[in-house]
Amino acid sequence: MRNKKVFILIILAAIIFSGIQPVLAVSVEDIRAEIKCPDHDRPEIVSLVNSLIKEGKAKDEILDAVAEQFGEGVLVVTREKRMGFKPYVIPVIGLTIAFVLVFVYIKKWITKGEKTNLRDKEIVEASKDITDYNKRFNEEFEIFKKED
Amino acid sequence: MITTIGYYSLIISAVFALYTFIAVIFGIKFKSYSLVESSKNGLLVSFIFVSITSFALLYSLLNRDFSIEYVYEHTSRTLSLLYTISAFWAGQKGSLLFWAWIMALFNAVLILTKRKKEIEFFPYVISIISFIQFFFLFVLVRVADPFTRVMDTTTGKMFTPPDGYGLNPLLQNPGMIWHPPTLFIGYVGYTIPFAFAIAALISKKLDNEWIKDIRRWSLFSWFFLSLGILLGAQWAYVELGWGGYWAWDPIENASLMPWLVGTAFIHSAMIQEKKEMLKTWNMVLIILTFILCVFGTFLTRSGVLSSVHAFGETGVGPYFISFISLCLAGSLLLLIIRRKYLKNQNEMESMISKENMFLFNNFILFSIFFVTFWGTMFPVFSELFTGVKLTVGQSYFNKANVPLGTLLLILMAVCPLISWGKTSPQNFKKNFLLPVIISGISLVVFYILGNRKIIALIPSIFVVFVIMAIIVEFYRGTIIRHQNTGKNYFTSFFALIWSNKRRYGGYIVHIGIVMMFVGMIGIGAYSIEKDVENIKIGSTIEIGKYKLTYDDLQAVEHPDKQSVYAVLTVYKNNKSIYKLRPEKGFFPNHEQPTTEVAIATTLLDDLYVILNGYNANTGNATFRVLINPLVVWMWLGGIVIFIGTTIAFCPNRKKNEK
Repeated sequence: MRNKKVFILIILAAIIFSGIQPVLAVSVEDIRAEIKCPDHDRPEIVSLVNSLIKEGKAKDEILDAVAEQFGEGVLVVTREKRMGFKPYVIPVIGLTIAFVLVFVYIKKWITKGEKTNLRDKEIVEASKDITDYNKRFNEEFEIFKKED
Repeated sequence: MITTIGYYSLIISAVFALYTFIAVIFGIKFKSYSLVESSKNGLLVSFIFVSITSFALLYSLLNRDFSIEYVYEHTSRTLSLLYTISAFWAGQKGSLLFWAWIMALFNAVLILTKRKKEIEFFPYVISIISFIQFFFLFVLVRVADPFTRVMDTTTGKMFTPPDGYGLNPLLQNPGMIWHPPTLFIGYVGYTIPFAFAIAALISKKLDNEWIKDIRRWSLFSWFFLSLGILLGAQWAYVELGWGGYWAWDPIENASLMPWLVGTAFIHSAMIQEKKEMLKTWNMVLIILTFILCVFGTFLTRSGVLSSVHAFGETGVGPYFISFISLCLAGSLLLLIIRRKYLKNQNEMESMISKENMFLFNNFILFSIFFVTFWGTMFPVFSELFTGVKLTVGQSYFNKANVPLGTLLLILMAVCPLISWGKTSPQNFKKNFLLPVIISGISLVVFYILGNRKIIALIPSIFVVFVIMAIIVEFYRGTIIRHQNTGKNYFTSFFALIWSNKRRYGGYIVHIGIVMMFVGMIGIGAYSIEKDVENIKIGSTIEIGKYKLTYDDLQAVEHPDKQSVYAVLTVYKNNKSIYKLRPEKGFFPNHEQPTTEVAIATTLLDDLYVILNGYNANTGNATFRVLINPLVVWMWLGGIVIFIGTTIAFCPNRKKNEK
């Protein structure tokens, strides 16, 4: 039951933080404004941007491709700043939950181990008592037989 | 003729792999010993035929048979012998054939070595390996036939071009000869542990035997995967002109992910052997390692993600994704069905115990894997959720993985000092005292020496801690051995390593990993770079303790390319110490010139010079110069890992005596 809740929580978080939004048509000027001067006039960059616009790519995708090919330095706002914390959300949430679950699991495991050890100890002690009792009983029985 | 032999051998090989799969299934079902034996022979015959196919392709490459598309696309008349051989695995089809050949070889070795020592569930192992072998051979026959002929697009007839297109210039590096084969051996090697795991699940033989049977295979695969990754990093460092060894490229990550999970498996398998715990987890790890190996080749060949290493979009993607899904679903189903056989036989005794530290080590390794997987697949996920394909860039991987890597280093330091079961406070104090004191002193020393960046200082202290912890382990063992045997310290030291090769080999591997951390810390925190544009001959560049003078720009004609290189003299303390020649190579048929960096290496740093551009008329040139501290320790660490793994791989004396 609790696992189900955690699963639903992860899915909800993924949806909330993924920032689903419609992809808008993009113009050359939009992209030009995002590329530093004078890089925005470099023929190879202009050519790449034009071809990507023709392919119907979104603004972020085009800037991503420009950064991949010509380096982060040509962008006015780096990809890291543009994306912010978004890529880290799932790893941070996922790993935190995983750590808590692992920790709780180990803690329970250790407690179970301690209980098992305690039970084993009790059994050993109980069996020791029984052995002592049997020994005494046999001794007394032997004495009784002799007396008889 | 040779192409016909090659193609039909491939088909026959696939048929025999399929026969093996069917025969062994029937053999198990009807308890027929002869069918199981026959299936083993089937797999050996399949190996012979795929070897003939591989030989046919190699023969065609060496004979420059340009009527074959693969030979035309990857060789030329001027290509040297070694690169012509390496063209075998340079392209999509050839590399798949190479993969299938290594797999068939390993399967044949497994069958021949296990023939005498029969394992109860071995027929199930044969069924798994033959199925996987059949899959790869089927893909080759169906969509990646390496013997496809060159067709004239206008007439639609076959023809033989006079010369080939040539090997991609970026691949014309010694790295091409060693890196792909070692990586492939690592990837393919994990098929055997996976097959044993699945066979153990099917046959319900879920004691520790399967783990013991695959120990050497998993270590062997892990070693080759490590070597492959390291050789790839070294290649990227010297060839691509990035100035670094690792760019978190999707395909680089694809090789790192199975390595991380495979490393976690090596550690947790020890807990199962020693304490009969973590049975389910070990199953998950080895299954995931194999699936990630196949996933790596899927990423390289499917065109899902773009990378300098990828082959681009090809027809094999759907086959691989179906295969991965089948393996994943089948393994998961088996794990669920067999869960009651996978219960722990012992309980965890304490938080501060070796087994618990191994568990945390697994958690960290798995976290690094998850972070890397998420970052690598982020373009796919972002497209799925937002409709926009975005990549995360290197900063994401560094920010997320550096703290996790430091935690891993801490665990590497702590683990050897903690006992199995429970560690008493007295033992804890006794074991930790010296390493803590020395690490504390090192903190002051590092600070005085100028290592003051937190991102470098903290891992540096733990590097010292790990080394001290390992030294303490070796020291104590040697002293006890010396006291018990009366032999001198030197003999006692080596006898100690020989007495428990697995344990001490493992420690030596840890020293190698720590040496690699030293390199990573150096280049990650203290690398400096300088861009100089359009400088004249005779100009000087100053960077750190070095002074470089740009002496000359020269052009040389080679049989296969034209090179333009700059000559720079490096001075340190006004004394000329090196001549460096960074180069640009121009290959016919290839538009993009290649960059050959010039590197001067010492134990303290690398002086790394890239010729970014030049003006042939004026002789002016543009350079990027970097000082990358301590990089050589990464490569030296690789050698130490090799030594450690070899020791751990050797059989124990007790077994030999038996």
